[in-house]
Amino acid sequence: MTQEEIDRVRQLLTGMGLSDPSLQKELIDHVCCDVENYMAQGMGFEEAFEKTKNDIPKNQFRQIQKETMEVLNKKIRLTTVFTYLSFFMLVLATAFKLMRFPGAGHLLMASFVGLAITLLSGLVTHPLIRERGRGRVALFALSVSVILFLTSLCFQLLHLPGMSFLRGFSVISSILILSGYAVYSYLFPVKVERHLIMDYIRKESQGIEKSLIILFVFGTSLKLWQNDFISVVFFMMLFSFGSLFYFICTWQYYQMKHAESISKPGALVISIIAYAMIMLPSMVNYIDVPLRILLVWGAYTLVAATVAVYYFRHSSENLRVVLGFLSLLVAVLCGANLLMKSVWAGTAVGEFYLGMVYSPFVYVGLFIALILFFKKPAFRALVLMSLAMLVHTYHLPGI
Amino acid sequence: MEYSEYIRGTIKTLVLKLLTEKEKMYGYEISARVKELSGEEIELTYGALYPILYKLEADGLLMAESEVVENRARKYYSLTKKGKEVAREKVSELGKFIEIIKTILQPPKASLEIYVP
Repeated sequence: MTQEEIDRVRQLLTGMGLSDPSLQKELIDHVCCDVENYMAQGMGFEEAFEKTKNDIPKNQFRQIQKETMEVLNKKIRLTTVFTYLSFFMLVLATAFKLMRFPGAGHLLMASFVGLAITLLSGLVTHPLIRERGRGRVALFALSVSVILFLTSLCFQLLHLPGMSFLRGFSVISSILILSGYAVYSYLFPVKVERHLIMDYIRKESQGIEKSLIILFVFGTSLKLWQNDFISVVFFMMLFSFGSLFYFICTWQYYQMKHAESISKPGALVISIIAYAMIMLPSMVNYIDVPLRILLVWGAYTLVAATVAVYYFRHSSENLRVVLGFLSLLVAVLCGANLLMKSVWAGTAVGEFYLGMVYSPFVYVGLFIALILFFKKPAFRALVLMSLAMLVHTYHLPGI
Repeated sequence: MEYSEYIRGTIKTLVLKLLTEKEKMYGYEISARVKELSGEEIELTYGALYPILYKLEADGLLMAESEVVENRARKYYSLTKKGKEVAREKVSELGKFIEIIKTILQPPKASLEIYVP
Protein backbone atom coordinates (compact mmCIF):
# COMPACT_ATOMS: atom_id res chain seq x y z
CA MET A 1 0.00 0.00 0.00
CA THR A 2 1.19 3.51 -0.73
CA GLN A 3 1.75 6.17 1.95
CA GLU A 4 -1.42 7.98 0.80
CA GLU A 5 -3.45 4.79 1.16
CA ILE A 6 -2.06 4.20 4.64
CA ASP A 7 -2.97 7.80 5.48
CA ARG A 8 -6.56 7.07 4.35
CA VAL A 9 -6.68 4.22 6.86
CA ARG A 10 -5.24 6.50 9.58
CA GLN A 11 -7.91 9.12 8.85
CA LEU A 12 -10.61 6.43 9.00
CA LEU A 13 -9.48 5.28 12.45
CA THR A 14 -9.13 8.83 13.75
CA GLY A 15 -12.64 9.56 12.46
CA MET A 16 -13.88 6.49 14.34
CA GLY A 17 -12.59 7.96 17.59
CA LEU A 18 -9.32 6.05 17.96
CA SER A 19 -6.93 8.63 19.40
CA ASP A 20 -4.44 6.65 21.51
CA PRO A 21 -1.20 6.81 19.45
CA SER A 22 0.09 3.35 20.34
CA LEU A 23 -3.21 1.57 19.73
CA GLN A 24 -3.80 3.60 16.58
CA LYS A 25 -0.44 2.58 15.06
CA GLU A 26 -1.16 -1.06 15.78
CA LEU A 27 -4.68 -1.00 14.39
CA ILE A 28 -3.57 0.90 11.27
CA ASP A 29 -1.34 -2.09 10.54
CA HIS A 30 -4.17 -4.54 11.23
CA VAL A 31 -6.71 -2.70 9.04
CA CYS A 32 -4.06 -2.29 6.29
CA CYS A 33 -3.51 -6.08 6.40
CA ASP A 34 -7.29 -6.57 6.04
CA VAL A 35 -7.36 -4.21 3.05
CA GLU A 36 -4.34 -5.98 1.50
CA ASN A 37 -6.08 -9.30 2.03
CA TYR A 38 -9.04 -8.12 -0.08
CA MET A 39 -6.65 -6.61 -2.65
CA ALA A 40 -4.92 -10.01 -2.93
CA GLN A 41 -8.31 -11.40 -3.92
CA GLY A 42 -8.31 -9.07 -6.93
CA MET A 43 -10.05 -5.94 -5.61
CA GLY A 44 -8.74 -2.43 -6.19
CA PHE A 45 -7.76 -0.29 -3.18
CA GLU A 46 -11.01 1.69 -3.10
CA GLU A 47 -13.22 -1.40 -3.16
CA ALA A 48 -11.05 -3.21 -0.59
CA PHE A 49 -11.01 -0.12 1.64
CA GLU A 50 -14.80 0.25 1.51
CA LYS A 51 -15.33 -3.44 2.18
CA THR A 52 -12.99 -3.39 5.20
CA LYS A 53 -14.69 -0.23 6.45
CA ASN A 54 -18.12 -1.90 6.21
CA ASP A 55 -16.81 -4.97 8.09
CA ILE A 56 -15.97 -2.83 11.15
CA PRO A 57 -18.90 -2.71 13.58
CA LYS A 58 -20.06 0.73 14.73
CA ASN A 59 -18.11 2.17 17.70
CA GLN A 60 -15.75 -0.85 17.61
CA PHE A 61 -12.54 1.20 17.90
CA ARG A 62 -13.92 3.54 20.55
CA GLN A 63 -14.87 0.45 22.57
CA ILE A 64 -11.43 -1.18 22.11
CA GLN A 65 -9.74 2.02 23.22
CA LYS A 66 -11.97 2.26 26.31
CA GLU A 67 -11.41 -1.40 27.23
CA THR A 68 -7.66 -1.18 26.65
CA MET A 69 -7.33 1.94 28.78
CA GLU A 70 -9.36 0.28 31.54
CA VAL A 71 -7.04 -2.74 31.42
CA LEU A 72 -3.93 -0.56 31.63
CA ASN A 73 -5.30 1.69 34.37
CA LYS A 74 -6.29 -1.26 36.54
CA LYS A 75 -2.67 -2.29 36.77
CA ILE A 76 -1.36 -0.46 39.82
CA ARG A 77 2.42 -0.55 39.73
CA LEU A 78 4.89 0.40 42.40
CA THR A 79 6.00 3.22 40.12
CA THR A 80 2.46 4.60 39.98
CA VAL A 81 2.18 4.55 43.78
CA PHE A 82 5.43 6.51 44.15
CA THR A 83 4.40 8.96 41.43
CA TYR A 84 1.13 9.76 43.22
CA LEU A 85 2.93 9.96 46.56
CA SER A 86 5.51 12.41 45.16
CA PHE A 87 2.85 14.61 43.63
CA PHE A 88 0.79 14.51 46.81
CA MET A 89 3.81 15.82 48.72
CA LEU A 90 4.38 18.41 46.02
CA VAL A 91 0.80 19.67 46.46
CA LEU A 92 1.18 19.63 50.22
CA ALA A 93 4.49 21.54 50.04
CA THR A 94 2.84 24.20 47.86
CA ALA A 95 -0.13 24.47 50.22
CA PHE A 96 2.18 24.73 53.26
CA LYS A 97 4.21 27.43 51.55
CA LEU A 98 1.13 29.42 50.58
CA MET A 99 -0.33 29.16 54.10
CA ARG A 100 3.11 30.01 55.54
CA PHE A 101 3.18 26.79 57.60
CA PRO A 102 6.61 25.48 58.59
CA GLY A 103 8.02 22.38 56.90
CA ALA A 104 7.25 23.22 53.26
CA GLY A 105 10.91 22.88 52.30
CA HIS A 106 11.15 19.42 53.85
CA LEU A 107 7.99 18.27 52.11
CA LEU A 108 9.37 19.49 48.82
CA MET A 109 12.56 17.56 49.37
CA ALA A 110 10.56 14.48 50.30
CA SER A 111 8.73 14.79 46.99
CA PHE A 112 12.08 14.96 45.15
CA VAL A 113 13.23 11.83 46.96
CA GLY A 114 9.89 10.24 45.98
CA LEU A 115 10.51 11.16 42.34
CA ALA A 116 14.00 9.65 42.50
CA ILE A 117 12.56 6.44 43.97
CA THR A 118 9.90 6.45 41.24
CA LEU A 119 12.64 6.48 38.63
CA LEU A 120 14.63 3.76 40.36
CA SER A 121 11.60 1.54 41.02
CA GLY A 122 10.53 2.01 37.38
CA LEU A 123 13.97 0.82 36.28
CA VAL A 124 13.91 -2.18 38.59
CA THR A 125 10.31 -3.31 38.19
CA HIS A 126 9.65 -2.65 34.50
CA PRO A 127 9.25 -6.11 32.91
CA LEU A 128 10.78 -4.94 29.63
CA ILE A 129 13.97 -3.81 31.36
CA ARG A 130 14.35 -7.17 33.05
CA GLU A 131 13.58 -9.12 29.90
CA ARG A 132 15.38 -7.15 27.26
CA GLY A 133 18.37 -4.91 27.29
CA ARG A 134 18.02 -2.66 24.25
CA GLY A 135 19.19 0.77 25.29
CA ARG A 136 19.32 -0.29 28.93
CA VAL A 137 22.72 1.29 29.62
CA ALA A 138 21.68 4.66 28.20
CA LEU A 139 18.44 4.60 30.19
CA PHE A 140 20.34 3.87 33.41
CA ALA A 141 22.90 6.61 32.69
CA LEU A 142 20.14 9.11 31.98
CA SER A 143 18.25 8.16 35.13
CA VAL A 144 21.38 8.63 37.23
CA SER A 145 21.85 12.07 35.71
CA VAL A 146 18.20 13.00 36.51
CA ILE A 147 18.54 11.69 40.08
CA LEU A 148 21.70 13.79 40.52
CA PHE A 149 19.77 16.81 39.26
CA LEU A 150 17.01 16.21 41.84
CA THR A 151 19.68 15.77 44.55
CA SER A 152 21.24 19.08 43.54
CA LEU A 153 17.83 20.76 43.96
CA CYS A 154 17.64 19.32 47.51
CA PHE A 155 21.17 20.60 48.21
CA GLN A 156 20.14 24.02 46.89
CA LEU A 157 17.12 24.14 49.20
CA LEU A 158 19.23 23.12 52.18
CA HIS A 159 22.12 25.42 51.19
CA LEU A 160 24.50 22.46 51.38
CA PRO A 161 27.98 22.60 49.87
CA GLY A 162 28.54 20.55 46.72
CA MET A 163 25.38 21.76 45.00
CA SER A 164 27.34 23.38 42.15
CA PHE A 165 29.32 20.23 41.48
CA LEU A 166 26.23 18.01 41.51
CA ARG A 167 24.30 20.38 39.25
CA GLY A 168 27.24 20.81 36.87
CA PHE A 169 27.85 17.07 36.68
CA SER A 170 24.18 16.23 36.09
CA VAL A 171 23.69 18.95 33.46
CA ILE A 172 26.87 18.19 31.51
CA SER A 173 26.29 14.43 31.68
CA SER A 174 22.68 14.76 30.49
CA ILE A 175 23.79 16.98 27.57
CA LEU A 176 26.51 14.50 26.57
CA ILE A 177 24.35 11.39 26.94
CA LEU A 178 21.35 12.85 25.12
CA SER A 179 23.38 14.45 22.32
CA GLY A 180 25.16 11.15 21.66
CA TYR A 181 21.88 9.28 21.84
CA ALA A 182 20.24 11.77 19.46
CA VAL A 183 23.00 11.26 16.87
CA TYR A 184 22.70 7.48 17.28
CA SER A 185 18.93 7.75 16.91
CA TYR A 186 19.38 9.82 13.74
CA LEU A 187 21.80 7.26 12.26
CA PHE A 188 19.88 4.14 13.35
CA PRO A 189 16.22 5.19 13.67
CA VAL A 190 14.82 1.65 13.29
CA LYS A 191 17.04 0.28 16.07
CA VAL A 192 16.26 3.13 18.46
CA GLU A 193 12.52 2.78 17.85
CA ARG A 194 12.78 -0.52 19.74
CA HIS A 195 14.85 0.94 22.58
CA LEU A 196 13.42 1.03 26.08
CA ILE A 197 13.51 4.81 26.24
CA MET A 198 11.29 5.17 23.15
CA ASP A 199 8.94 2.54 24.52
CA TYR A 200 8.75 4.52 27.76
CA ILE A 201 8.10 7.80 25.93
CA ARG A 202 5.36 6.22 23.79
CA LYS A 203 3.59 4.73 26.79
CA GLU A 204 4.05 7.46 29.36
CA SER A 205 3.99 10.63 27.26
CA GLN A 206 0.48 11.64 28.38
CA GLY A 207 1.43 11.19 32.04
CA ILE A 208 4.69 13.11 31.60
CA GLU A 209 2.91 16.04 29.94
CA LYS A 210 0.28 16.07 32.69
CA SER A 211 3.11 16.28 35.25
CA LEU A 212 4.66 19.19 33.33
CA ILE A 213 1.32 21.02 33.37
CA ILE A 214 0.99 20.39 37.13
CA LEU A 215 4.50 21.84 37.66
CA PHE A 216 3.49 24.85 35.55
CA VAL A 217 0.30 25.42 37.56
CA PHE A 218 2.12 25.13 40.92
CA GLY A 219 5.04 27.29 39.81
CA THR A 220 2.68 29.96 38.46
CA SER A 221 0.49 29.92 41.61
CA LEU A 222 3.52 30.38 43.87
CA LYS A 223 4.96 33.08 41.64
CA LEU A 224 1.69 35.02 41.47
CA TRP A 225 0.86 34.63 45.14
CA GLN A 226 4.11 35.17 46.94
CA ASN A 227 6.87 35.35 44.31
CA ASP A 228 8.58 32.76 46.46
CA PHE A 229 11.89 31.06 45.81
CA ILE A 230 10.15 27.68 45.72
CA SER A 231 8.45 28.71 42.47
CA VAL A 232 11.96 28.78 40.97
CA VAL A 233 12.42 25.12 41.95
CA PHE A 234 9.13 24.18 40.25
CA PHE A 235 10.08 26.04 37.10
CA MET A 236 13.57 24.53 37.07
CA MET A 237 12.04 21.07 37.22
CA LEU A 238 9.60 22.00 34.45
CA PHE A 239 12.32 23.38 32.15
CA SER A 240 14.80 20.57 32.72
CA PHE A 241 12.37 17.62 32.54
CA GLY A 242 10.27 19.29 29.83
CA SER A 243 13.24 19.97 27.57
CA LEU A 244 14.59 16.45 28.19
CA PHE A 245 11.20 14.91 27.33
CA TYR A 246 10.56 17.03 24.24
CA PHE A 247 14.13 16.49 23.04
CA ILE A 248 13.61 12.72 23.12
CA CYS A 249 10.20 13.14 21.45
CA THR A 250 11.91 14.73 18.42
CA TRP A 251 13.72 11.44 17.77
CA GLN A 252 10.42 9.97 16.61
CA TYR A 253 10.74 12.29 13.63
CA TYR A 254 13.83 10.40 12.39
CA GLN A 255 11.73 7.22 12.36
CA MET A 256 9.18 8.70 9.94
CA LYS A 257 10.02 7.45 6.49
CA HIS A 258 7.87 9.97 4.67
CA ALA A 259 9.45 12.98 6.42
CA GLU A 260 11.70 14.96 4.10
CA SER A 261 15.24 13.74 4.53
CA ILE A 262 16.67 17.26 4.33
CA SER A 263 14.74 18.35 7.44
CA LYS A 264 16.13 15.54 9.61
CA PRO A 265 19.77 16.70 10.01
CA GLY A 266 18.43 20.22 10.64
CA ALA A 267 16.16 18.90 13.41
CA LEU A 268 19.09 16.97 14.91
CA VAL A 269 21.52 19.90 15.02
CA ILE A 270 18.93 22.40 16.28
CA SER A 271 17.56 20.08 18.98
CA ILE A 272 21.05 19.33 20.35
CA ILE A 273 22.03 23.02 20.40
CA ALA A 274 18.70 24.10 21.93
CA TYR A 275 18.84 21.42 24.65
CA ALA A 276 22.37 22.41 25.65
CA MET A 277 21.41 26.12 25.63
CA ILE A 278 18.38 25.50 27.85
CA MET A 279 20.18 23.24 30.33
CA LEU A 280 23.49 25.10 30.75
CA PRO A 281 22.00 28.15 32.58
CA SER A 282 20.74 25.87 35.38
CA MET A 283 24.42 25.67 36.40
CA VAL A 284 23.71 28.85 38.33
CA ASN A 285 27.18 29.26 39.82
CA TYR A 286 28.99 28.92 36.50
CA ILE A 287 26.79 30.75 34.00
CA ASP A 288 25.95 34.37 34.68
CA VAL A 289 24.43 37.36 32.90
CA PRO A 290 24.68 38.19 29.97
CA LEU A 291 25.52 34.63 28.84
CA ARG A 292 22.51 33.22 30.70
CA ILE A 293 20.14 35.59 28.86
CA LEU A 294 21.75 34.76 25.55
CA LEU A 295 21.48 30.99 26.13
CA VAL A 296 17.91 30.89 27.47
CA TRP A 297 16.23 33.35 25.11
CA GLY A 298 18.41 32.27 22.19
CA ALA A 299 17.26 28.67 22.70
CA TYR A 300 13.59 29.64 22.88
CA THR A 301 13.86 31.82 19.77
CA LEU A 302 15.62 29.01 17.90
CA VAL A 303 13.05 26.38 18.91
CA ALA A 304 10.06 28.63 18.15
CA ALA A 305 11.50 29.53 14.73
CA THR A 306 12.09 25.82 14.00
CA VAL A 307 8.53 24.91 14.99
CA ALA A 308 7.28 27.72 12.71
CA VAL A 309 9.35 26.36 9.79
CA TYR A 310 8.06 22.86 10.54
CA TYR A 311 4.42 24.02 10.30
CA PHE A 312 4.99 26.16 7.22
CA ARG A 313 7.06 23.69 5.22
CA HIS A 314 6.82 20.12 6.49
CA SER A 315 3.52 19.62 8.31
CA SER A 316 0.38 18.20 6.73
CA GLU A 317 -1.92 19.82 9.34
CA ASN A 318 -5.02 21.63 8.07
CA LEU A 319 -4.22 24.59 10.30
CA ARG A 320 -0.53 24.58 9.54
CA VAL A 321 -0.44 28.21 8.35
CA VAL A 322 -2.17 29.45 11.53
CA LEU A 323 0.09 27.33 13.73
CA GLY A 324 3.17 28.43 11.77
CA PHE A 325 2.20 32.07 12.15
CA LEU A 326 1.55 31.73 15.89
CA SER A 327 4.86 29.91 16.39
CA LEU A 328 6.57 32.72 14.51
CA LEU A 329 4.95 35.21 16.91
CA VAL A 330 6.39 33.24 19.84
CA ALA A 331 9.81 33.36 18.13
CA VAL A 332 9.47 37.16 17.78
CA LEU A 333 8.49 37.49 21.46
CA CYS A 334 11.48 35.45 22.61
CA GLY A 335 13.83 37.13 20.14
CA ALA A 336 12.65 40.56 21.33
CA ASN A 337 13.32 39.50 24.91
CA LEU A 338 16.84 38.43 23.95
CA LEU A 339 17.61 41.75 22.29
CA MET A 340 15.97 43.97 24.92
CA LYS A 341 17.68 42.22 27.81
CA SER A 342 21.11 42.12 26.22
CA VAL A 343 21.70 44.75 23.51
CA TRP A 344 19.21 47.38 24.70
CA ALA A 345 19.26 46.53 28.40
CA GLY A 346 18.44 49.48 30.63
CA THR A 347 17.51 51.81 27.75
CA ALA A 348 14.11 53.45 27.34
CA VAL A 349 13.50 51.44 24.17
CA GLY A 350 14.36 48.22 26.00
CA GLU A 351 12.02 49.01 28.90
CA PHE A 352 9.18 49.91 26.54
CA TYR A 353 9.42 46.67 24.58
CA LEU A 354 9.88 44.55 27.68
CA GLY A 355 6.70 46.14 29.04
CA MET A 356 4.95 44.91 25.91
CA VAL A 357 6.44 41.39 26.07
CA TYR A 358 5.47 40.97 29.73
CA SER A 359 2.00 42.47 29.32
CA PRO A 360 -1.16 40.62 30.44
CA PHE A 361 -2.18 40.65 26.77
CA VAL A 362 0.72 38.31 25.90
CA TYR A 363 0.07 35.93 28.82
CA VAL A 364 -3.66 35.69 28.10
CA GLY A 365 -3.02 35.34 24.35
CA LEU A 366 -0.54 32.51 24.84
CA PHE A 367 -2.85 30.79 27.31
CA ILE A 368 -5.78 30.96 24.88
CA ALA A 369 -3.54 29.63 22.06
CA LEU A 370 -2.47 26.77 24.32
CA ILE A 371 -6.09 25.83 25.07
CA LEU A 372 -7.26 26.24 21.45
CA PHE A 373 -4.46 24.17 19.91
CA PHE A 374 -3.86 21.77 22.76
CA LYS A 375 -4.16 18.79 20.44
CA LYS A 376 -1.19 19.90 18.28
CA PRO A 377 1.87 18.35 19.98
CA ALA A 378 4.70 20.56 18.65
CA PHE A 379 2.74 23.78 19.22
CA ARG A 380 1.55 22.64 22.66
CA ALA A 381 5.14 21.92 23.74
CA LEU A 382 6.38 25.27 22.44
CA VAL A 383 3.63 27.38 24.06
CA LEU A 384 3.70 25.50 27.39
CA MET A 385 7.46 25.95 27.74
CA SER A 386 7.61 29.56 26.55
CA LEU A 387 4.59 30.61 28.64
CA ALA A 388 6.26 29.02 31.68
CA MET A 389 9.52 30.86 30.91
CA LEU A 390 7.67 34.18 30.57
CA VAL A 391 5.90 33.62 33.92
CA HIS A 392 9.15 32.52 35.58
CA THR A 393 11.17 35.50 34.33
CA TYR A 394 8.50 38.11 35.14
CA HIS A 395 10.24 40.68 37.37
CA LEU A 396 13.18 38.29 37.80
CA PRO A 397 16.51 40.04 37.38
CA GLY A 398 19.29 38.38 35.41
CA ILE A 399 17.16 36.30 33.06
CA MET B 1 -21.99 -21.01 13.79
CA GLU B 2 -21.68 -18.31 16.47
CA TYR B 3 -18.88 -19.17 18.89
CA SER B 4 -18.21 -15.76 20.41
CA GLU B 5 -19.77 -16.54 23.80
CA TYR B 6 -17.56 -19.66 24.13
CA ILE B 7 -14.38 -18.11 22.77
CA ARG B 8 -14.33 -15.07 25.09
CA GLY B 9 -12.76 -16.86 28.05
CA THR B 10 -10.20 -18.74 25.99
CA ILE B 11 -8.60 -15.98 23.86
CA LYS B 12 -5.86 -15.38 26.42
CA THR B 13 -4.83 -19.04 26.34
CA LEU B 14 -5.08 -19.20 22.53
CA VAL B 15 -2.78 -16.19 22.15
CA LEU B 16 -0.27 -17.62 24.64
CA LYS B 17 -0.39 -21.01 22.90
CA LEU B 18 0.20 -19.53 19.42
CA LEU B 19 3.17 -17.58 20.75
CA THR B 20 4.75 -20.75 22.15
CA GLU B 21 4.81 -22.05 18.57
CA LYS B 22 6.24 -18.95 16.93
CA GLU B 23 8.79 -16.63 18.49
CA LYS B 24 6.98 -13.40 17.65
CA MET B 25 3.66 -12.52 16.03
CA TYR B 26 1.70 -9.35 15.28
CA GLY B 27 -2.02 -8.75 15.85
CA TYR B 28 -3.28 -9.52 12.36
CA GLU B 29 -1.07 -12.60 12.17
CA ILE B 30 -2.55 -13.96 15.42
CA SER B 31 -6.14 -13.49 14.25
CA ALA B 32 -5.32 -14.96 10.80
CA ARG B 33 -3.67 -17.99 12.41
CA VAL B 34 -6.68 -18.63 14.67
CA LYS B 35 -8.94 -18.41 11.61
CA GLU B 36 -6.74 -20.81 9.67
CA LEU B 37 -6.36 -23.37 12.47
CA SER B 38 -10.09 -23.34 13.20
CA GLY B 39 -10.94 -24.02 9.56
CA GLU B 40 -12.30 -20.46 9.27
CA GLU B 41 -14.86 -21.18 12.00
CA ILE B 42 -13.41 -18.79 14.58
CA GLU B 43 -12.61 -15.18 13.78
CA LEU B 44 -11.09 -12.94 16.43
CA THR B 45 -12.43 -9.41 16.07
CA TYR B 46 -10.26 -6.36 16.80
CA GLY B 47 -12.36 -5.77 19.90
CA ALA B 48 -11.74 -9.26 21.23
CA LEU B 49 -8.02 -9.41 20.51
CA TYR B 50 -6.39 -6.07 21.33
CA PRO B 51 -7.57 -5.46 24.90
CA ILE B 52 -6.31 -8.99 25.69
CA LEU B 53 -2.92 -8.32 24.06
CA TYR B 54 -2.53 -5.10 26.06
CA LYS B 55 -3.55 -6.84 29.26
CA LEU B 56 -1.05 -9.65 28.70
CA GLU B 57 1.65 -7.07 28.03
CA ALA B 58 0.71 -5.05 31.14
CA ASP B 59 0.82 -8.26 33.20
CA GLY B 60 4.37 -8.90 32.00
CA LEU B 61 3.43 -12.07 30.08
CA LEU B 62 4.14 -10.56 26.67
CA MET B 63 6.73 -8.10 25.50
CA ALA B 64 6.31 -6.01 22.41
CA GLU B 65 8.60 -4.39 19.89
CA SER B 66 7.82 -2.28 16.86
CA GLU B 67 9.28 -2.56 13.41
CA VAL B 68 8.62 -0.47 10.37
CA VAL B 69 7.21 -2.79 7.70
CA GLU B 70 5.91 -1.52 4.35
CA ASN B 71 5.76 2.12 5.48
CA ARG B 72 3.87 1.41 8.69
CA ALA B 73 4.71 0.45 12.24
CA ARG B 74 4.11 -3.20 13.10
CA LYS B 75 4.03 -4.30 16.72
CA TYR B 76 5.35 -7.80 17.35
CA TYR B 77 4.53 -9.70 20.51
CA SER B 78 6.60 -12.42 22.09
CA LEU B 79 6.42 -14.35 25.35
CA THR B 80 8.42 -13.27 28.37
CA LYS B 81 9.95 -15.87 30.68
CA LYS B 82 6.92 -15.54 32.96
CA GLY B 83 4.65 -15.71 29.89
CA LYS B 84 6.17 -19.04 28.82
CA GLU B 85 5.44 -20.56 32.24
CA VAL B 86 1.89 -19.18 32.32
CA ALA B 87 1.31 -20.42 28.74
CA ARG B 88 2.18 -23.98 29.78
CA GLU B 89 -0.14 -23.81 32.79
CA LYS B 90 -3.04 -22.23 30.90
CA VAL B 91 -2.87 -24.64 27.96
CA SER B 92 -2.82 -27.60 30.34
CA GLU B 93 -5.73 -26.15 32.38
CA LEU B 94 -7.80 -25.47 29.26
CA GLY B 95 -7.12 -29.01 28.00
CA LYS B 96 -8.39 -30.47 31.28
CA PHE B 97 -11.38 -28.14 31.25
CA ILE B 98 -12.31 -29.22 27.72
CA GLU B 99 -12.13 -32.87 28.79
CA ILE B 100 -14.48 -32.16 31.70
CA ILE B 101 -16.93 -30.33 29.44
CA LYS B 102 -16.80 -33.23 26.97
CA THR B 103 -17.66 -35.64 29.77
CA ILE B 104 -20.57 -33.50 30.85
CA LEU B 105 -21.86 -33.19 27.31
CA GLN B 106 -21.65 -36.92 26.55
CA PRO B 107 -25.01 -38.71 26.57
CA PRO B 108 -25.38 -40.80 29.75
CA LYS B 109 -24.14 -44.36 29.24
CA ALA B 110 -26.64 -47.09 29.81
CA SER B 111 -25.84 -48.46 33.22
CA LEU B 112 -26.03 -52.13 33.98
CA GLU B 113 -27.16 -51.27 37.47
CA ILE B 114 -30.68 -50.52 36.31
CA TYR B 115 -31.06 -54.14 35.26
CA VAL B 116 -30.14 -55.37 38.69
CA PRO B 117 -33.32 -56.55 40.26
